[in-house]
Amino acid sequence: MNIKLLGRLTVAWLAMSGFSGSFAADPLNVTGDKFRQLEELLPTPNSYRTASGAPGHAYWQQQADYDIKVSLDDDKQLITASETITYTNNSPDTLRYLWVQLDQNRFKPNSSGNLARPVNLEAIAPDTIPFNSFRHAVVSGEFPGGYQITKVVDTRGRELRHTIVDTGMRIDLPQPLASGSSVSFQIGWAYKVVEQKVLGGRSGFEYFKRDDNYLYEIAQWFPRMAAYNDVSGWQNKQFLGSGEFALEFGNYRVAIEVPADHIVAATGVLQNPRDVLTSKQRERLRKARIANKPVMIVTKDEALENEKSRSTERKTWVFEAENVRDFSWASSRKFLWDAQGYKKGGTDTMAMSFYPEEGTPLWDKYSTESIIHTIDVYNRYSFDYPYPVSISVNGPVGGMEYPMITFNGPRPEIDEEDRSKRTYSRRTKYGLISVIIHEVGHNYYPMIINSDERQWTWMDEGLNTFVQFLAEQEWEEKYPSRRGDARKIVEYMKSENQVPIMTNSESVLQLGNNAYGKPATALNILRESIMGRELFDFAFREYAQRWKFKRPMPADFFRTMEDASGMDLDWFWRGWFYTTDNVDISLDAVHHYTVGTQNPEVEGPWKRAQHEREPETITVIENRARKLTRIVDGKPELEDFYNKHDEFDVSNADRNSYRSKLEDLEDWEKDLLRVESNVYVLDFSNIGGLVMPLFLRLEYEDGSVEDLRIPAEIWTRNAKKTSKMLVRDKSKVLKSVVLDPHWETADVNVENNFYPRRIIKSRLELFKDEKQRNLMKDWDVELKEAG
Amino acid sequence: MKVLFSFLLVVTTSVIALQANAHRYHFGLTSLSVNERTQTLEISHRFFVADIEKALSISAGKELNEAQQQMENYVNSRFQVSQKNGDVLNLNWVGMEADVHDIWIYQEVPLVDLSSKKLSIKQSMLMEIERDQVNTITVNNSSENQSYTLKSGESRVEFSL
Repeated sequence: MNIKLLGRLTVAWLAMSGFSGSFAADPLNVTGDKFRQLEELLPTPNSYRTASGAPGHAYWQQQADYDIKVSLDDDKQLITASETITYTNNSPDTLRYLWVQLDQNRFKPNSSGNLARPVNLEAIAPDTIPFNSFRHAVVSGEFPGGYQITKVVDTRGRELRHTIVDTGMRIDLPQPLASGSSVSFQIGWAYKVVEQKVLGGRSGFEYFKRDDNYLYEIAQWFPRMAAYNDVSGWQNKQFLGSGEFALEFGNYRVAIEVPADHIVAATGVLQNPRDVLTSKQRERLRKARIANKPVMIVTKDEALENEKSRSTERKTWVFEAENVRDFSWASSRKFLWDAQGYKKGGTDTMAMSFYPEEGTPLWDKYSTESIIHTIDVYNRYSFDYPYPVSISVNGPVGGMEYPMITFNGPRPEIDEEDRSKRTYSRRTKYGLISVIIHEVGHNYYPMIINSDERQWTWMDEGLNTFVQFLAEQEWEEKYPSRRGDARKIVEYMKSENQVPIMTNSESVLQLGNNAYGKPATALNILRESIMGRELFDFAFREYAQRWKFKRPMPADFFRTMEDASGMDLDWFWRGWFYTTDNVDISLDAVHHYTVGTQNPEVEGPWKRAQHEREPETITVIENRARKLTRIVDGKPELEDFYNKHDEFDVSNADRNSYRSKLEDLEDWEKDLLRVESNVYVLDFSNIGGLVMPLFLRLEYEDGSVEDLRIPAEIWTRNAKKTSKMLVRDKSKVLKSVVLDPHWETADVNVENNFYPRRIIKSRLELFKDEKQRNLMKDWDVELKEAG
Repeated sequence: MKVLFSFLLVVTTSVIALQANAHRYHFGLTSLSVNERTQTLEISHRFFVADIEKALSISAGKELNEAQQQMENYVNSRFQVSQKNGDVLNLNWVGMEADVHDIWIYQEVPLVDLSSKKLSIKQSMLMEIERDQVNTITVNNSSENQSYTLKSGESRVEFSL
């Protein structure tokens, strides 16, 4: 038997709005069943990668070890070098040739990257071009960039057949390389370092006219092994500029010969400090290791003195690095150098910063502290930082990461008439701290959790930007994070011409929002609103633990997060990573019901009361006003039984029927009929496409407030419309409902989140209101630095 | 055909990294929204403060008030809304505000000024600075959202409100 709910009072029907054609595009055609399992989209698990998202029992990866000798010509900005690569084939396959990456070839005048660059002749007016664009076009067409490969030989000096294909080189092996065996070969090369501020890129030199000095940030500087793996085979997609790198782990020994007055920072540990550092510097380094604030290894005065030097001597700095996927370095006679040791858990490292005096007073205050803060926070969310150094260098590159060393751009402003006058804006300060956290954070993703950047930008940028947000929020209260909070991504989510996060790096539109902002925000929503911090943090750390020093793929991340948390998150990955749908959930209607007791003694009077509550018809009102006389008034004999009893009167037949029905009921069913609760049914529709949990704030007439969190699974049967029934005590009369009161789902339209509806002012209106109160803000108030 | 230099940019003394490095990308968002309550077409532009500073050759630390007129001229020269008959609409300058990362610029026009719902806009802000500048336009009225992506060479779009 069913309980009949009587719609005794329909509180409100709200008009549905914004319903026409605003479902976002779904290029992978997975609309419909939002909870459909991902099995058909993800690769089939195998012995290399398990269904739980962990490396399988037969997981393998290649090893590439390097021994490099390099010389820097400071007069010509020229790199000359040679290397021995030892490549170990751990794959089950036999390799007949090897692929080597020649990233510098992107700067060859006829590289694919240069040739495929579009030009725009309508910048200011038709047929005009800005000076800078034109300079770039002219210089990139003339600059003799790219590698000059001087030799490719085996260990006995015999030429190896090789073919250069733009930014790649295939080396044909005289004997196929069997599974489990190694091969060594040598490559010699030279290239002209690019001026970073003219030709861009992730490395290059900066020239300081005032003191006639160069500062070098050197990366993508040696022919290095392309990745070979179980998913892609050789990852030999060309380097066009956006999709970054796919690399193998290995051990490095690098000898860097530079002018004797240069200071060198590099991936790895310096092997010959006695040859290149003064005894004073070595002593300071020892002190720095146990210091609780940064210690100057090269002071400002020493650096300013060094700037004037023009040594013709040469010195060789030797570095070794174990288990890194890349190697990078920086060199200049302008460097100040500070350092501070950090030891905690499994981490024992030297945080160090190298910067020209133009970086003070900002770098000396914040750089090394930011490195240590990053390691402290990231260790908790992933694993203990395993490398012996972590370096931040200031130079021309705005922000770029390499193992153990990062390049970071922001500097204070210098008054050229009085160089001691230096200021930096709020934006520069937080820009520097944020970029250091971000780049140092890249040591975890992807330098150690070695995802394939050329294929999937989000796997390193998205995950790293998410942990960056956590680290920023631990720096100070209200830290101005650019990405992380759900409300910051709303405008992007609302825009329609997007591509899914699961898109190859080179094809991504709006890289910043797509590969950094959206995945970072999605993970933050997952953590705060869907999984909860404990479950999320455990699973997210498990992913890091499983894949450190290995190469994860997207499915490994998705699967691990589910495997370690016990939550089916396929709907979330499907919606946020495979579609461009957005969140727009509308609270359409709130219905109020009470229980129909079926007792005629209760229901009859109630129905009558309902009837009497209806307004009188206009005819009745007019007739009464005009004192209409009716025929029965004069002839009472015309009245009978029906004039004394109306349809609401309870008859004995009704009573008997009720009793016999009641006898058929179980006791628990009888109890339910006596429930006097308020029953509310809330109707929701899904306009944006993404299914999300329903976060509700219910406010009652008695002033009490109830927060209710309904899981996303409420949408399983119907992803477009759903309703939720709430049974509340007789005393709880609903006054208002707010959907997503904390803006935690990135709902792109909050106007339909209220019962009763509220007027939401536009940002422009709010701005006008504020302006009228004369509270115009300054955008960047200068921060005056003492001294 | 001769390629002329745009002299407006000669004053841009700050050095510009043309190649977006690993963590730079150039993106702006312009929203046009019909506000039925106030009977206006509201326009808001959101850009990165750093990019705007480059475009105006101003430095961080300069106050918003001082840059107001310069900004208005810049926006008017690079963002235009045209009616069906080709007339360029006169947009009212509302103002601008900014936080550490982003700047918002506001303009509006009364709905009565529109002769029809068909409009064409040109949004080429910052395209002269960054060759990979992407300006996204969203158009919102009470029943639907439209969105367009403008890049250099394709900085104009026609739509119906």
